[in-house]
Parts: sequence; C-alpha cells; structure tokens
Amino acid sequence: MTNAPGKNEVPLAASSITGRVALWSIRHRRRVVLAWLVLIIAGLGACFMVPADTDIDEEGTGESQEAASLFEERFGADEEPLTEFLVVSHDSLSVNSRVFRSLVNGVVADLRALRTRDTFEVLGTNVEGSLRFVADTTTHYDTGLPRTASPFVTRNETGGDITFVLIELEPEFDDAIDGVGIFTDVIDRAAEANPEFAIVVGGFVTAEEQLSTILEDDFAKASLISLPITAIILILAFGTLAAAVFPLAIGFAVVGISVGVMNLISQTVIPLNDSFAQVILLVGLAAAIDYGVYLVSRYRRDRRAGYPELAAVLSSMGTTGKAILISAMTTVLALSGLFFLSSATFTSLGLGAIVAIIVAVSMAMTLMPAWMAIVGDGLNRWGEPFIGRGFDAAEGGGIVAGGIDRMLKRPAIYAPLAVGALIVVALPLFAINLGLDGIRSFSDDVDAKAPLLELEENFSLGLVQPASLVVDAGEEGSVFSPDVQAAIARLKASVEAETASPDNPDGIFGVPIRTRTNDAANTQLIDIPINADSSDPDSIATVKRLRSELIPAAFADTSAEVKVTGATAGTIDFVDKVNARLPITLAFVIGASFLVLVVMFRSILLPLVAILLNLLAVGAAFGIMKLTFQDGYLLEGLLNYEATGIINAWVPLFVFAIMFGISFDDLTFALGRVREGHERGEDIDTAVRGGLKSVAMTILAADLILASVVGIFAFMRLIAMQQLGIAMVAAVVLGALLVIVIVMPALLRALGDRIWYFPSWLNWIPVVASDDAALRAIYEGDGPGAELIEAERARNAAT
Amino acid sequence: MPRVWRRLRRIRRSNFVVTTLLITALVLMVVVNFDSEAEVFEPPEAVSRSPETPMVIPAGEPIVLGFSGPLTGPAARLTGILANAAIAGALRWKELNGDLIHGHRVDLVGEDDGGTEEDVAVVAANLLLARPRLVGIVGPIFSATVVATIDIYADAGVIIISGSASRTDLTLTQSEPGFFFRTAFTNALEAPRQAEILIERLGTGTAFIIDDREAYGIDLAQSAVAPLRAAGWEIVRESVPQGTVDFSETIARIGSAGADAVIYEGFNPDGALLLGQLRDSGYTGTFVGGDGVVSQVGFLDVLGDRAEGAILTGCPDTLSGDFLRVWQAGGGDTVPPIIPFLGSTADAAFLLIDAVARVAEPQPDGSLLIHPLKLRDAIAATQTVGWASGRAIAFDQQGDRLGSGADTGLVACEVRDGAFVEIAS
Repeated sequence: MTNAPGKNEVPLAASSITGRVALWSIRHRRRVVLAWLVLIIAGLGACFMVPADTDIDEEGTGESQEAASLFEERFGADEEPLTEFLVVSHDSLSVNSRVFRSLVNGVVADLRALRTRDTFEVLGTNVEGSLRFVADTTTHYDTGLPRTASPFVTRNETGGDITFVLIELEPEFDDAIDGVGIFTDVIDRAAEANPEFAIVVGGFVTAEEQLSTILEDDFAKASLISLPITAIILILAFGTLAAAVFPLAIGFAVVGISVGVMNLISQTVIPLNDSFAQVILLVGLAAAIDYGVYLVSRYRRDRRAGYPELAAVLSSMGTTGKAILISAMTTVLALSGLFFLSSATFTSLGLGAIVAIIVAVSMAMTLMPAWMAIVGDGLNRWGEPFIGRGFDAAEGGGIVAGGIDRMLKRPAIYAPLAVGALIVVALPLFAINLGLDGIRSFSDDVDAKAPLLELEENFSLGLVQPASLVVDAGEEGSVFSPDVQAAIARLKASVEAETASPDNPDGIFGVPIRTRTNDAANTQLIDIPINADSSDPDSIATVKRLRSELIPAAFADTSAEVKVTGATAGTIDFVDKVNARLPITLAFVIGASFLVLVVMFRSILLPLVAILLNLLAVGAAFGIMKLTFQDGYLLEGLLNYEATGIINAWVPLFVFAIMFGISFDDLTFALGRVREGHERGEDIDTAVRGGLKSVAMTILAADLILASVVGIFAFMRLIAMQQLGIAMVAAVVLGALLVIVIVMPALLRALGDRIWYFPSWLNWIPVVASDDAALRAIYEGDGPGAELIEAERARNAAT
Repeated sequence: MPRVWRRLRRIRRSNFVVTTLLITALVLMVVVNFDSEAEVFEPPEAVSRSPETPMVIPAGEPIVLGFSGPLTGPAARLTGILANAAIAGALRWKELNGDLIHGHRVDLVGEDDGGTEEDVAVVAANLLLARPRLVGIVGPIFSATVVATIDIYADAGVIIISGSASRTDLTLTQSEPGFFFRTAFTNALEAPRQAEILIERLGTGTAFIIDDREAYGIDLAQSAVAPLRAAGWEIVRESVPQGTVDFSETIARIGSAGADAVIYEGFNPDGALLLGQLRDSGYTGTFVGGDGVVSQVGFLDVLGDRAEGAILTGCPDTLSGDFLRVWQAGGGDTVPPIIPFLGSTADAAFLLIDAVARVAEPQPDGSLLIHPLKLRDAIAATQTVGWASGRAIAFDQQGDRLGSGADTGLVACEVRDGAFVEIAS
C-alpha cells in the first residue's frame, strides 16, 4: 500500500512560512531567478575581487599558550626560528675526512647564500630588499669538539659517520614554506653530485610544505573521482539530466556565493582562517544537493499523483521544504557548537559551514520553487528512456522498501537488535585516544619524514619538536640572578640524569639542550629534546612530569615561573580543552536540536528518537574510526590505512558538528513524511510504512551523493584527513542504511502512537506543521495562491 | 592550532575548484584570492666590472643604488632604520632635482649582508655586484662587513659610502684606487672622547675594557687604551664573543680587578645585558659604551633604571628639519628612532646619487655611461653641507670624513632620567 494522494486528495502546502515564501517566489519567479543570478555574480565577484583577510591570531590554549604568549612578548617574535635538519652520512668516511668536511661546509655555504626578495614603493621610488633565507647554521665543525664528544656526530651501521646540521630559517612560517623550494633544491643538487653520501633534509617547514603539496594533489585526484560519481548518482537518481543538473548547479552557486560572503565577512567583521573554503565546498555542495534532491523528488512524486505543476511545487515546498528549513536550522545550531572551542580556526570553519547552509536553504526556499514553476515538467527532459525514471520513482518498491516492510513486521526483534548493534559499534568511542599527528604519522611520501626518522634513530627526534620551557624571572628580574641560575642548573641536572647515553640508552631526554635569553635578560627559553614523537605517550608523560615534578622541584626556591610549550605540550593542552568543552558543546547542540524538533513535530518522543538515532549513528561512526585508526582492526590492509594509536583531537568534534546537522536532513525529511501521514489521520503503522517507504530511495540517493562528496577525504594520504573522511562516510552510511531503513521504522513501530505524545501544557507552542486547511483552501479556489492553480488548470484545459 | 588546518590553508583553492568545474563542465567559477608567494631571488649572471670599465645603464632602465646591511637577525631593526634613512636621502635628492637622472629612474636595492658574518657579507657583495645597473652602495653598515668586502668592491670599481662603519683602519688599508668613503666619524675620534670624559670625571683609576671580538669592537677598545694609559689609568682588557648572554664570569673578574669604570665596545643586546647584569650584581662604577649600544629600544627601554648614569659616545646627533619632513613623508615615525648614524647615512645616499647625476654621460641611444673612476673622483671632491645632518662634509685622501669630534657628528651623552642627555665638549 502506498499513501500517494489521488487526484482528489489535497496535497499539503502553504500556510507555513516555507509555503508562503514559495508562493511569493512563484508569483515573482522571473524576478527571483534574476535576483539570484545577480547574487551569484556578486558572490563570484567577491571571490575574485575581495581577498579573504586571513590574518588570524590563532590562540592555543592552556599553559602552552601562556608560554607562547610570554615568549612573543618578551622576545618580540611570533615564534622561535624555524629549524631544519640536514642529515649527512657516508658508509665509511669519518666527519674528520677532508671530503666529508668539504661537502658539509659546501652545502652549508650554499644554503647561507640563499635569498628571498621583497619589493615595495616609497613615494615613487622602487625599493627591493634581498633577504637571507637561512639565518644561522650550526655544524659539528662549529663546535670544535672531537667527533667522539660531538652531539652532532654518531657512527652509522656500516662504520661511517652520520652527522646533522642545525639550520635556522629566517622567514616566518608562511614565507618559509613559500620559499623552501630554493632550499631543498640546494640539497637535491648536493645529493645528486655526491651519490656516495646520503644527504637528506627534514624539519617542520619542509614537512609542512610537502604535506601541503600532498594534500593539494590528493584533493585534486579525489575530486576527479568523486565529483563525476556525484553527477552520475544524481542522473541515476532522477533519471533525467535536466533534473540532475539544477541541484548540482545550485551546489556550485552556493559555494561561490558563500565564499564571497565569507571573504566580505573576513574583511569587515573578523579575519578568518581560509580553510573555510574547503568546508564550504563540503557542506555547501552536500546541503544544496540534498535539498535539491528532496524537493525535486517530492515535486515529481506529487506530479505523478496527478497534481497540477504549481500545486506540486507548492506542495513540495510546504512539506519537504519545511523539513529542509527545520533541518537547516538544526544544522546551523549544531555547527554553532564549534564556537564553544574559542578557536579562530574552528570559528572560521563553523561560520563557513553556517553561511553555506544559510545560502543553500535560502536558494532552496526561493530559487527552487521559482525554477520548478518555470520549468515544470521540463524536469523530465533529457533522459527517458535511456536512463529510466530514477530512484525516486521506485518509491514503495525495491530492496529498501522491502527492508522497511521486514522491519515493521517484527519491530520488537529488529529494533533492539539494530540499536544494540549500533551501540556495540559505538562502544569503542569511550576508549578513544585523542591527540595530534606526530612526525611518525606522516605519509611515507613526505620526503622530510626519512631524515627526521634518521634523526630519531641516531640522535633525538626531540630536536625537531622539543619541550620548550619559558623561564620568567619577572618583568624587573633577571634570569642571571644566582637563584634563577641555580634553579636552571638543578633542572638541567635532573634532565641530564635521564638523558640518553651509551650508559643509559633508554633515557627519555636528548641533547643538546639549547637556550636563548631575551634582550632584557628577564626571560630564558630552554629547549629540551625528548626522545619520542610529539604525540607519543612517552613524550606526553614526560612533559606532564616536567610540569608536575621536575620543574617545581628545581624552581621551588625561586620567584621565577616556568611554563612549558612546544608540540607535545600543545597537544596535551588542546586535548584537555577539547575534553573540557565537549560536554557544553554536546549539551548545546543536542538541547537546541531537541527544542527545534519539538516545535516542528509537536512531539516529545519523536525528537528524542531522532536525536538518539542520530547520536547512535555518529557514535557508531566514531567507533569505526577508532577501530580503524586507533586499533588497526578495519581497513588497514584494504585502504592502506595506518593505525597510529591516536585520533586527531579536532576530528570528532568537527565531524559531530557537521554530521549531526547534515544527518538531520535525512531524519527530518523521513519523519516529516511520517508526520504528514499522522496529520492525515493515519495510524502509526501506516504513517511509518507509507512515509518511510516513499522517501527511502530518495534518501539513499542523497546519501550516496553525500558519501561521494565527503568520501574525498578518506582517500587522502594524510591520516587526519582519512579519519575525517571515514568518520563522515560511516556516519552517512549508518545514518541512511541502519537508521532510516532498519532502526527507525522498527523503533517507531515499537513505540506506536506514543510517539505523538505531546503534553497539554506545551500547547502554547505555535503550530507550524499543519498545512491542511490552507492547501485545501487553495485547492478549492479560496486561499492564497489559488488563482495560480486556477490559471494553470485553465491553461491545461485549453491545451 | 592543529597543524592540518595550516596545511589546508595552504591548498590553493584555485586548483580544486578549477578541477571541480572542469569535471562538471559548469561555467560557474569559484576562484578566490590566490596566496601571494614570497618571491625567490634568482641572481643574474655575473656582470663584468672593473674600475676602468664604464657602467652602462640602457635606455629606459633604472639606475640602481645598493644598500648593504644585516636586514635580518639581531641588528635587523637598526639596519631597517638606517635603510629608511638612505631611502630618505634618495627622496630628498629627487625632491630637489626631479625624479629622473637623464631620463632614468633611481631604484634602491637592499642586500642582507649578515653584519658580522664574513661569508654572508661576501655573498651579499657578489649579489649586489651581479646587478647590472648597480652604480654604487650606501653601506655597509658594520665595519666587519667593510673589512670582508672592501677589496671586492674596489676590484669591481663600485663606490661604497658608509654612514656608520667607524673602525679606524678601514680607509687606511684599502688598496688604490680607494672606492670606500664614509660619512661616519671614526673610532679614532670616538674612543679618545670616551677616555676624555672618564678622565674629566674620575681623574684616574682602573678601566676594564671589553670588546666583542668583532672588527668594530676590538678597534674601539684598543683605541681607548692609549689615551687612558697616558692619563695614568690602569687597564684590564677582556674579549667576550658577540652573542654572549651570561656575563657572570666577566663580572667576577671586574670585581676582582676593582674596576672604577667598565668600557664595553660592542653592540646590543650584549651591551645592555652586560650593564644589566653588572648593576644586578651590585656594581656601582661607571659604565661607558660606544655607538653600538646607543639605542632607545635596545638599551634604554630594556634596562630601565639600570641604564642611569651610563656614559655613551656616538649618541644621536641633531637632525635637520628637512630630514624630519622627508622622513615622515616617506612613512617614518613622527619622531625618528633614537639611534646613531641616521643623518650620516641619509647624507651618504644623497651624496652618492648626486655624484652619479653629475658624472653620468647620456648617450644618443638614451643609455647612460658612468665611469667608476669619475664617480669616485666626484665623491672624493665633495665639499658640501649634509642635507640631513646639517654638518659640513668633505673627505680626506683616504675617504675619511674631514673634521674632529662634534663637527663629524660625534656626540657623547649620559643616561639621565631615562633619556640620552648630551655631554658638552
């Protein structure tokens, strides 16, 4: 049985805000289309003409940020000089050999000669500054120490020597990455000219530059695969090119306008991290295509049910349009949760996604009805009979509908089973180990990884990302005062007691400890290498011990304060912050979503079910992510994923905010249909069966598209991106297949009519769901928009 | 911030968007601001230069004036200010004479010479000389750089005029023909002035003289020894490498020596660190420093009360109204930073451009010929009043500025109430 309305039935439509907006848009359809064209051009113009202001002041958090701020204030620099490591080894030669010395000194000389150029104009006079790229170098030969005593030299496996050169770069991060090509060229040339030596370079800048390149390449390659798939699914879903093209076009228009809006916001309100563009591409495309698919599918369904074109447009906007609006509101609220992290980056990402959703829903509410009213059944052009009628024509039948039928037959069995399965998959979530990528998690395609691992093997990986201690003697104090110097000596002694050496190969600390003092001599920076990757549990435990034991013990008798920063300390503090903000973020997102859904569905249980199912789907997705990337159980061999033991701390919260919102598209679309059945007086079984079966294939198509968009990230070589992609794909698939097809029908059926329970003391909440009366009036020629329907009827009769 | 977002920031959005658009064959283009990338300097092929080879500026091409100083590193701020003074000199010349020299623009190129790092100085010199339209250089800022490069420039026949390199023997040792000039005073004037003040104030005693093992510091320290010894002072000498931050051992020796005065001949932050640690250790004797430590930002602001009473030579000279006006018009602060050699550097730039304008020979094809020896002779014959310093400028046969003491811009001062207060001669 289907619940498709017959010719004499009244479609639901237009007393709701979405219906009224749609009616207005239909009446002014050409002006609406024109206005959006202008907005698209303006948005694209803003993309071209208004560069984003990306000068954000990204604050870290906790003690590491306090230390970084103090460093910036006292040393007058944003960050420590960026350091690269040149690692040179030979199978048999010692560093004392003339050839070895000549090679190292020659490469260093070439590096020190590198320049970058900065040009500007002063009152019509052109001025050019030619600046050093390498600020300073330190080699074994600079130390004057014999090779056996030099921290820069060790013996390699074949009996030759391996040495490294510390290279401090002059430019700050972004400029260093832009110019690092000239730097690596020098190394490449030296390696080519001296094949008997192994010459490699690695460090934060080279690694980041290579990671950026990999990310860029991966994004392009993944787009080449993903976007055609998206287009094909759309065409298959609709069965006609005409119906498929418009949602896709709207998707790109949303991206263009949103990026333009964000550029303007960045210039006029707050500077933003320009990663918002990637998020807009992701969220904007996904949302716009989702909305387009749902609306077009609903329109065609109503047309097949025999409604006139305009009535079908109004009907789709009054029903599905309303679900979309509610879903968009929920998504925006969920994304607002990112603001609780108080991070310029997350604020930028959240804002970008929110702008994309707002633009997408605005287009769905106004441009879609206007366009559908203009095109009408032209939607069905350019397809039949070659492709077929599309997924949405299969409502009420097919595998998915069969699955729903099966679930509804034995809800008491399937509901607990499915929920139980989701809970089991989600359970690993509670043992998730949050952290941030360390060097060892870099893809092997990052050339800088090899020298860094050589550093780890032969010297100390901690040289790259040491624990940085900022010793503050006070504004008027001096780090050279006897008590502070004694404290520093005590600390160094306790560190040296645990420093790796031939007698103590497992020592956690490395050499050399490097110090810098500011001009005022009231602050000293002490870099202590830790022999572990920045995200390694040993490294984390060591920094925590520095903070809680070694430093307090050494500085107990002084007024000087010591704060620890660096990659490991930053990871610890960031994870702490995420953990601290997680409850409030979850509470806000869930609470706000619940309130919106209560208003929409006029039910207490239904929103609870929707939120519970959504949480289960996202939770299960996190479980899969944890099993894959933390434990290495899934997909490791299949997709060459590497289990690093950590989940990037920003991924779960980011995925939760995005997917919790986007998943509501499906839920509200499906539950909206169930609600329609309920408003028509159907019992819960009929409403669920008819409602869900009618939308199942559409949801499946929409989610396939969504999966193909978010799946881009799963095929990248960066582990954080892979985690992001897998979590989002899993959330989409679980949301579509398990939740919509299995859990929800069984659960709703099991709950029965109790699902509509709505306490009487909440009756003051305005009714937003009922369109029956208004549409009936339209259909009977007595309501707003009725004249349009009548005119259409007359046209149809004449032709 | 998670590093991955820094990586994401670096994806050029054009790439994926263009890819996307190609795939979908949509006309909508979403290309947003491209990241501007730092330009990497590719040095041109070496230019053949000699004192006898005329420099040719092709028609329509600009004349290039070089500036040599440590544009990065600890002295970058000082150098930046002096570079702005050189720019002010160029702006002033244009203000008086028009924007063009026989139809040719004047552009400025600053080369980062590393200050006291010899290898970097040599690289910088060669990079400057590789610029085909370079006619002369303001700088180098530091004496050590002059030592490392003076012969390179002389062999190439390229004029260098420093407004700040003060080591005495720089001009004395240059090979003929000399292409090095300076508008700065020399250590031979500065160190005796330090001694003179100490003798006036303390009569006699023990002086602990420290240099920073660099060309300028050693020369200045040695120049202070003779006049003090002549006045009966006992001298203790010490060298502490540039970049030292912990002076505790030196301070212990100062205490052992019972020094009445400590003279530090080097740069900041070392000078400020030494005085700060001296005062923290309870030392109450007189501290004397050279022009290398004179700085509002690097000395007074850093030390606060601990700077009180310090005696310094090479303090900022009075600057002309024209300089202040041009400085501000060029985007400088309302009041120029308190550092030495602003006026002498601005004068040097003006002199160089003016000499180029006088000797440049326009050719029928619009190009310019500049003979290095004629340019050198034109500068050597300078007899003028510096537009920025307001003081007479002329050079002796060695290229040193004629004059003694204050008429070369040498000013001594004492820190009183947080300010440099001039000590009358």
